[in-house]
Amino acid sequence: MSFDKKLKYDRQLRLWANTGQTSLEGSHICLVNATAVGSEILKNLILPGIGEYTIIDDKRVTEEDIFGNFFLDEDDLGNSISSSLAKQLNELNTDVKGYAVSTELSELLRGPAEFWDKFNTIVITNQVASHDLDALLDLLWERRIPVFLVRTAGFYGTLQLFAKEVNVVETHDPAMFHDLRIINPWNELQEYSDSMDIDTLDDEMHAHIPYVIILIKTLEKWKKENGGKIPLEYSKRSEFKRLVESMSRNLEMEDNFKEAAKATHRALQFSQFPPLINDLFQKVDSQEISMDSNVPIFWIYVKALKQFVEKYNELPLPGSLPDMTSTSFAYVTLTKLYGEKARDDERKFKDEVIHVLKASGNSEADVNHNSIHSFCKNIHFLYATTGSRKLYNNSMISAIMKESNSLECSTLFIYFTVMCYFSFADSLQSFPNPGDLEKFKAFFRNMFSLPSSKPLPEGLIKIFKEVIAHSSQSYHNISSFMGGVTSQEILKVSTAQYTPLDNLYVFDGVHSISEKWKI
Amino acid sequence: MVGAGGIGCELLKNLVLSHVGEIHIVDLDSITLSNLNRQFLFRQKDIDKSKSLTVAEAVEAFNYLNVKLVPHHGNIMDSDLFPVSWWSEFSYVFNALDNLEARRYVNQICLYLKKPLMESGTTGYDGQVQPIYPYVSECFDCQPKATPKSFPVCTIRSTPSQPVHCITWAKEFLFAQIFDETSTNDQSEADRANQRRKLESETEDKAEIENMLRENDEFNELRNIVKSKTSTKDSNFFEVLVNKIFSTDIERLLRIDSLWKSRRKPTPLRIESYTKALKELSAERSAKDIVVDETRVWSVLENLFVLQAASSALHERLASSESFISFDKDDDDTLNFVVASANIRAFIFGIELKSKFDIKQIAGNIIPAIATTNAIIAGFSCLAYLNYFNQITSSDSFHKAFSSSSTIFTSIRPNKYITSAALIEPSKKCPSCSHARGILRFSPEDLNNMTLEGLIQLIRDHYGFDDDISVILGKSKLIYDYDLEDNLQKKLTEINGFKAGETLLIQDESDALENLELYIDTNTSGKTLFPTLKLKEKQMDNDGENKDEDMPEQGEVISLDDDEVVELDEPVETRKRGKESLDGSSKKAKL
Ligand SMILES: [Zn+2]
Repeated sequence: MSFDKKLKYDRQLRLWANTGQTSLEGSHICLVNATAVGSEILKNLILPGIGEYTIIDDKRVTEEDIFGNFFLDEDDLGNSISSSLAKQLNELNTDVKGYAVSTELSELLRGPAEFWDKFNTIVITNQVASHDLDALLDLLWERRIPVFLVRTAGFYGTLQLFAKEVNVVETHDPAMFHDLRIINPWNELQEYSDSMDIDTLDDEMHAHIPYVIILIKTLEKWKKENGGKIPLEYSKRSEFKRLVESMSRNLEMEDNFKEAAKATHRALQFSQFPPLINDLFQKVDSQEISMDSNVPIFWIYVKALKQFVEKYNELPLPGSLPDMTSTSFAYVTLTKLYGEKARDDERKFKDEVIHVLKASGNSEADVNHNSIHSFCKNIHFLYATTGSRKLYNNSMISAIMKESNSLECSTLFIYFTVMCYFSFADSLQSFPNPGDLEKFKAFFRNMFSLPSSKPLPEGLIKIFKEVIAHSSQSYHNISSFMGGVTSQEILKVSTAQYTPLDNLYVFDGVHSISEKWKI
Repeated sequence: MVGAGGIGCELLKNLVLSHVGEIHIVDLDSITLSNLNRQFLFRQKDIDKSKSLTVAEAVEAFNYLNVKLVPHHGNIMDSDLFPVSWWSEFSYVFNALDNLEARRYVNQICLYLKKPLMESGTTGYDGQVQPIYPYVSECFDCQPKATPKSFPVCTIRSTPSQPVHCITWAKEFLFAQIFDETSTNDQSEADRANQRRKLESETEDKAEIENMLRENDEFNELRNIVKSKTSTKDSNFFEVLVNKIFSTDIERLLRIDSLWKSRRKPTPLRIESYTKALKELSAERSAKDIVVDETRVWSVLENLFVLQAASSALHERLASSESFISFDKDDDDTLNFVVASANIRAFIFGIELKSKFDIKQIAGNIIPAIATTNAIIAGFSCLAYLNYFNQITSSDSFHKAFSSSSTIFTSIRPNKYITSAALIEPSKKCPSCSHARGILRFSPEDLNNMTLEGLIQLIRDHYGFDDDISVILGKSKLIYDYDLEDNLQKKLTEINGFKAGETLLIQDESDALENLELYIDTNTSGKTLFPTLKLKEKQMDNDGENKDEDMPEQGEVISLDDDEVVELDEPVETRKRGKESLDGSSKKAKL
């Protein structure tokens, strides 16, 4: 990275480092509809240096577009809205390339599907014809391109992520956890522990035994007294903690034994296999994942990890060691032991990765040392989830129709109302106005096949009234806020860091509250 | 709007497109390259231009609603530039600042003038907005703010255990002692005694204190070498430096047994063992190749190499043109010196070494920042403002706004994406809003002729102080109490610092009435006006304490977006959102 670039992006490199920046700069984002919220999203992605973006919109700039959108002005009236917007946005950052496509969406959908392959993420904003939306979602779902659908109406906003699966390695999990291998020390660690005869040490040295060694030795003692069992349940771990304390000559004076007691629960708990890893192992062998040349690298790693575990019966060691009371010599020795083991495991894991790559028809040249290193370091913090292609499901419908919950699930009311608002405009070629309440109700019933015998909940009708009272889908403030939220999520996907939305977010700007749902 | 940075740019756009009548923008800063990743109203060509003037110009091009924009380039705390008469013209104040001092100042002004204030701030993915309605809701000072971390001198000087301790030592102690202005060559006896007292307040370990004082003396030697005009080529500065700080000083620390009872001992650096490798490395590579590698952690040898190069560069600068050098994160020589010396010290103490990139963040107090968080926070800020303006038709708008506003937090954690908390009442212990305040407007005649005695009499009469009072001018200058009567006969203007824009703190020596703070202003047309205030009786201390303990610390924190994401295949009844602080009725904000 050039000096200027480093300085320009300094404040964000501190959040996602060079790896995140490189992913971001390699990303191409596509915006469908040059709306106010769309402009805000792009602005927030162009500033931190997304690689490229494309705006798809065949409309011309109108008076209304100008008022809610900071990036359009009077000179643009009547011109292509996608070109006008791209022209303004391109000025934000000379590192970013922006393109405008003034072709109708339905026409693009009739064209070759490969058109969409160059995009890493698609953002659809506000109104798209229902059949186009369905066609586009189907197409991108199959091609594994994540789609964000964001909509603003009056003081409300909704955001939904459609992605077959989301897998994150660098989750930035704030948990301070160190895999210390207390339960199953490897040979060198065991040998080092055995080399210390703690009973013969003088008081000074006894107060400087690193707590890793204290825990290993206490566990040996425990196992002897408990028929080889390991204290896994909470009550047993508490008992074990007291055993640790009892091994101190004077707990007040020996900080290392205090540290050992404090670390007991986590050290024993985390020596177990993370449940997510077992789920991933099952999935990687199932029909869902086809190990071919298109398989995401994440699954290559999971498969390699599975083979690693089958061979060595343990996970690769991340190798980090917390600060602890110790003699300098012992601490340096331990740092070396953990570091060497971690490097060794990483090497073995890499061999498995190469093996899997070859077996699945990929090239050995695809091996990326940094990403393998990062995977090994983050093994305990991986994130994986599967998404939904649906806009809603039946349990959501029955949830909103429950008479009892009038105000209780108001954000769900908002979600359905906003969805209906755009469908209404699509079918009737104009947005509903305050006089359209009855029409809107009927449309809603029809859209979600609700029996006319059942009354609509009061709370829902309240939301109807609120939405149709506003004649605008783009109050700037709501666009700006939803733009911030949406671009934040796109950044997570583009930098492949932090865990993104799973999978529906609804904002109520009347009350400044929001809620998340999973479909 | 105070501050035209990350939040400011976003907020200004939102306010302009929400059709606000007139906006004044104040900022002291100029645009730098590292602003451009988020402050979207600035371009490369604007670097070094004034932020406030540039934002106004940039927005003007898109100002189809004809909002009146008035930029001011200056320090908001300058009361000559921004007197109360200027402040009193606004109906709403936005803080979009990055420093505590200015935030506090604006908060105080808003308390004096009872102006609604929107306080906002972001750090990386975290952000917060807090509406402040003076004396009705908590002010900025009601919750004590975390001050930048400071460490005990002993931890920094003798027993570091974290990278940050070594970085602080390298920057604030080592670098400052050798290169910066504050280091004086000959210390007076009084200085030494002062230093000793300071150290004694932190540790009882006599040996440690003696050692630290001795180390100080020895820095004189280093300073002398570095300040002498001898050619840097002949100088043995680097050798003397490294031997002293990484070997002699460490050995001396090791001899103080009391320090190492429960700590890992440091290992002095044996510089001899690196001499040969250092020679070879310098024959092979230039230190320039290493220092650009900012994200990799350098080896000990590389750190030594960088330290050698940085020492020599700094020495050269002192020998040629500069009389002292202050640490500046953007001055690469100073940064490299701090990075390398901090890392070698860390190595000696068995602490993790850090990359230049990471050390720069700590030493330079760099706060991560991105466009998205600023957009979200500015969005909330503007929404809350519109909400407030829906209420001001009512006679008691602060109370009404109080019950319908909330403090909002955002974060990256999926289960804490947006959380909000109801506003709470001012803290009885708040140093800012727990006492009475008002603006005292002097006629020019009174300001020139009135004596302090005359003023004190008027204050007594106006506010009913029975007994004696004390008067503090500005931050801490005592101008009157029953022991200090020297100023009584002086005219107000003869008292140093007594002028418009300053404050007077009046305390009741008998503790019967609450404290009173008066802001000095002038009233060019007419006579001297005292603010109409009724002083409350002072609450007994323990009484107040009891009341405070009953109050929840952050108010009722309502998590609106918490862990309970509902899987919709599950029955919905189990879902419960935190209690809503807001009434359920729908409010429309007019745009
Ligand atoms: Zn306060």
